[in-house]
Amino acid sequence: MKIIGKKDGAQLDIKLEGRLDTTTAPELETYLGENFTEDVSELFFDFDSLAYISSAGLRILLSAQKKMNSRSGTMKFKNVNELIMDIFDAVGFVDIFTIE
Amino acid sequence: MDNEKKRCKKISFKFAVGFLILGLFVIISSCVVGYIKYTSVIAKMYNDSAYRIAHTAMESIDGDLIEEYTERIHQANSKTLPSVSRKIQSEDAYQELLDTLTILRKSMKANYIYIADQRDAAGKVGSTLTYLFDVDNPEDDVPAFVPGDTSKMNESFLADSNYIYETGKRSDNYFYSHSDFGYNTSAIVPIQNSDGQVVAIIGVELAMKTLQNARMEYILYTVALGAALTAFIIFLFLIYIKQKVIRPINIITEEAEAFVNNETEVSDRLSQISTGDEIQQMAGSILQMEHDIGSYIKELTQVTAERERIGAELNVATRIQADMLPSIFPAFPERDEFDIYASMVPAKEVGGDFYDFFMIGEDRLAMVVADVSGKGVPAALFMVITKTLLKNYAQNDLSVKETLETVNDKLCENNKAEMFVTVWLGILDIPSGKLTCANAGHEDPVLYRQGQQYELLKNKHGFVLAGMEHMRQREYEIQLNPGDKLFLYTDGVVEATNANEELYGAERMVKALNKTVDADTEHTLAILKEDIDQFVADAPQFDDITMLCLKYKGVGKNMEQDSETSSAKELTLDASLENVQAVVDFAEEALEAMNAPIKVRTQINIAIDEIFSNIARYAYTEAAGMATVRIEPFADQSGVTLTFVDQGIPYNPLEKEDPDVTLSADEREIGGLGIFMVKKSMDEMQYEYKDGQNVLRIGKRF
Repeated sequence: MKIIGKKDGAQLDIKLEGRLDTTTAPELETYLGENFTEDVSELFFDFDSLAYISSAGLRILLSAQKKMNSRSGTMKFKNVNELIMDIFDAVGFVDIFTIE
Repeated sequence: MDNEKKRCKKISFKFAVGFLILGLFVIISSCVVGYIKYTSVIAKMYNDSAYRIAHTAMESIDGDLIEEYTERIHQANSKTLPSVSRKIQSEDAYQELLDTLTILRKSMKANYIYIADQRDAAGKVGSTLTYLFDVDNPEDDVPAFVPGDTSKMNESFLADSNYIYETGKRSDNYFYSHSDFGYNTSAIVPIQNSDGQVVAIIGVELAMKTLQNARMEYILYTVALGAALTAFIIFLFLIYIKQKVIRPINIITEEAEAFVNNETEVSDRLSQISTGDEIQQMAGSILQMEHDIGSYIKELTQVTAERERIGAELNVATRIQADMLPSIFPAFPERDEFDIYASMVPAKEVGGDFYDFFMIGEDRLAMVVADVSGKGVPAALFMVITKTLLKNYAQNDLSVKETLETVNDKLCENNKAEMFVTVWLGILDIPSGKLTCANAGHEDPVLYRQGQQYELLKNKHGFVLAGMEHMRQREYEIQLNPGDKLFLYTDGVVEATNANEELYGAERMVKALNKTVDADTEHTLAILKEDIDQFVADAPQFDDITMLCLKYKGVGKNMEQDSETSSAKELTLDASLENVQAVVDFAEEALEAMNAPIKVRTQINIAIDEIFSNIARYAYTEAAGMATVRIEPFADQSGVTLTFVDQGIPYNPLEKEDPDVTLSADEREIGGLGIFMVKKSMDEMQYEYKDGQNVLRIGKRF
């Protein structure tokens, strides 16, 4: 998996390419740990090139969402493919996440 | 009651005796005073009448004649005296005066009247009376003196009679004498010749007959009347005392007793006492006191009940608090990679100290030792919040640093009591022995390296939690090797104080710990507690004493990596997360050969990811194990079956409850979604435990 991030003040854009699964999830976790700092109030994920997500990925996303909620920031997903949408749907994340 | 009666009788008795003594005193003094005064008045009266008799006699007496008689008698010697006396007696003038005196004595009821000269022949006044006339009461049966007879002057009259001779005046003193017949009074008056010279005296003695009787009567009356009056007054006073003192006092006493016996029931008897004096005041005060005591007791009862209730609740709180801390040891009997033991001895019923340890996933062990500022219930409440938050965040896969920082912010949100908590948090990666930890204002841990000594591990501390928002924490790592031990504690250990106000201190603690290097974790804490107890001796425990000891034993050697791919359709390999990708690649290849649709391939990839990582994480807790993945198409080629086999602990993922997907982000548990996703995306899912193997089969139609 490839993580392409761009931080601009309080805004953090992350584009993921490949698979967000058990193997790669820790990478994202580490990345978020370093970049998704407290000053970040807007977090945008671009899933255009993301093939799929496993539960390991979901937990990181949920964790990020909780963190964002606690600081009343915005977190959005765009270009979510059908499969990932199905997964989000299945686990009820469509109601939790803001998906464009 | 008998006692009270006795007491009251005593009071009456005391009053009666007092009055009796007073009465006696009054009677005696009035008797004495009356007696003296009466005597003197009566005596004076008698005396005055004696003088009147004397003066009456004087009217008939010719001083010159008397002088002549005295001269004649003084000139006579003892031989001629009787004839001279007889001669004088025979003279008419003498007889005439004697008759006058006799009549006077008789009519005035005098004892006797006499005329005598106190001078001797030389004219010198002496103590011998030489009689000229003597008129006696014939009843006395004593022969009267004749002229020339002598007698000794009554000595008590001597000075006064001398005075009379010298001055020619009567004496101011009264003369009294006492004879067998009773009290007498005398008057002595000088008889002067025509030149004014005193030539003789006339004496009159009167018996004070009425005096004695009158006096006796007076005393009798006085005593009788006094006694009667005293008795009457005592009687009246006793009635008064009974009504106004004893009865009210009895009422007060009875009321006080009733108050005690009837458990503070106040009657209105006291308010009926209206003596209008100090007793009424006392009754009022006692009534007030009863009311006050009643309300105090009521209050006290309430307070006591309240206290008992609080005490009971505190006991429950203590138990709840104790139950919150993991207290069943060994805590993880199935894990032989480490040993952990902890204890907490609260100073009060509930304390602010706590320890905690829990697994995060299969490979990580989190440990917490913390101390909330303050003690008692507030500290205990804060402890509960802190403990819960720490566990939640740590288990949500946040790092040590993140956990502390997040918990800090959460605690700050509503910390009006301005409490804070010092926390040491460490997460041990069990397979590697890497301990990631952070210290938020807490005591330094003590590390024991296999074969060495315990040493304080000094690292930079972060700020205490709940102290200030958005504080950053520092994380540091310790590599634990098999045999290493870590000792965590709160300030109750190092600040344990003995009777001499000395602190136990870190030095003593490390020294004591070094005696325990061969002991297991439980005994390490026991030995240390004993050492502290010995040091503190009888001094009271001020702070909670919390200790935690971890011994890292390490993981048994991994099985040899043997990822031999037996066939194109079956793969057996080490059940580790690193091999997830290998399984996915293996399936990808097989599925491509089966011309499976892209979506199915992706879904199967996800399923493999979830299931294999589950096996890698949870199947083998003690040592690494193997897992086999078999992939085969349906007989009609319309789908594919994947079979996962492992020899780990029996675990049926299908029994796991589905997560509630309708909750909000904050309510959602992080994790627990994997198997659920697989269930949703696959068409078929079966599990069985067979021959010591977990067999999970999933099917997906193309």
